Amino acid sequence: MIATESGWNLFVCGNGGMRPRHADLFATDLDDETLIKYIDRILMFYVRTADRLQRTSVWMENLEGGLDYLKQVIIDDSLKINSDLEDGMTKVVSTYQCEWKTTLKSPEKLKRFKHFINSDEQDKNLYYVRERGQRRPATEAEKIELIELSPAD
Amino acid sequence: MKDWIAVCQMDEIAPDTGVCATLDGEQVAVFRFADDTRVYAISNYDPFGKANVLSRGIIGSVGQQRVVASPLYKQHFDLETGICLEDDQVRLKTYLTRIEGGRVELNTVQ
Repeated sequence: MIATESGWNLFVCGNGGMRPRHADLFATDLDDETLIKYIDRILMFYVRTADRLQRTSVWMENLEGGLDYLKQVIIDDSLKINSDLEDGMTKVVSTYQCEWKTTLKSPEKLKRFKHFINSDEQDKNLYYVRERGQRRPATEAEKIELIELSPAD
Repeated sequence: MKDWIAVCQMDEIAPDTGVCATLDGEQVAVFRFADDTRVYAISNYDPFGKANVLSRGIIGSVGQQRVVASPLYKQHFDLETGICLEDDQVRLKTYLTRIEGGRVELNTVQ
């Protein structure tokens, strides 16, 4: 998205990395609402038609009719699926959950992060050293030193 | 003579995974297969990676043998005998197991 004097310009399907591709200019001078609508529709259309792990750039290259076809579908509603695409995005947004947060709230799931199933003790075989202000696992040699230095239980 | 100690409930072990239990100061990896009614118990210590991690290993079969693969360097250990498939000089301690009323019990006697 690029802001201009008269609204937003929307570019789609660019790619960085090993196979770079310039993004295509999809629409110009959009207001906020239309911009978000177009993005929602494009993303849902991509989600439903792309192969798994396929980049949007590759998806676009393989899309029959290319950019013009995508414009027809998204802007002119040529397939009459836009309301369906928007509903799909609404559902994704409303059912989104942070899986880490969900896990932290679940005593059942937190059990998997304990070392012992039948004790709150920790693994006594773990040793760490500080390097440049950060904690890292000790090497074998450092471990021996740490064991010798620690007071007897 | 037999000394059985309950370490957890059967349903606390997700099918096809393992947990680690402490038993008389020893760390024991306890595994449950989805298609099996018994559990397997083996030392949790990986002698190649020198860490207590085997309960986190992926379990499966190599031929007829049920095994766990170490999550570190992927050596396989036979869950019945404790013998390493890649190096039969290495043998881990195994434990007798039984299920009693939904509880997983391990035996402290070899």
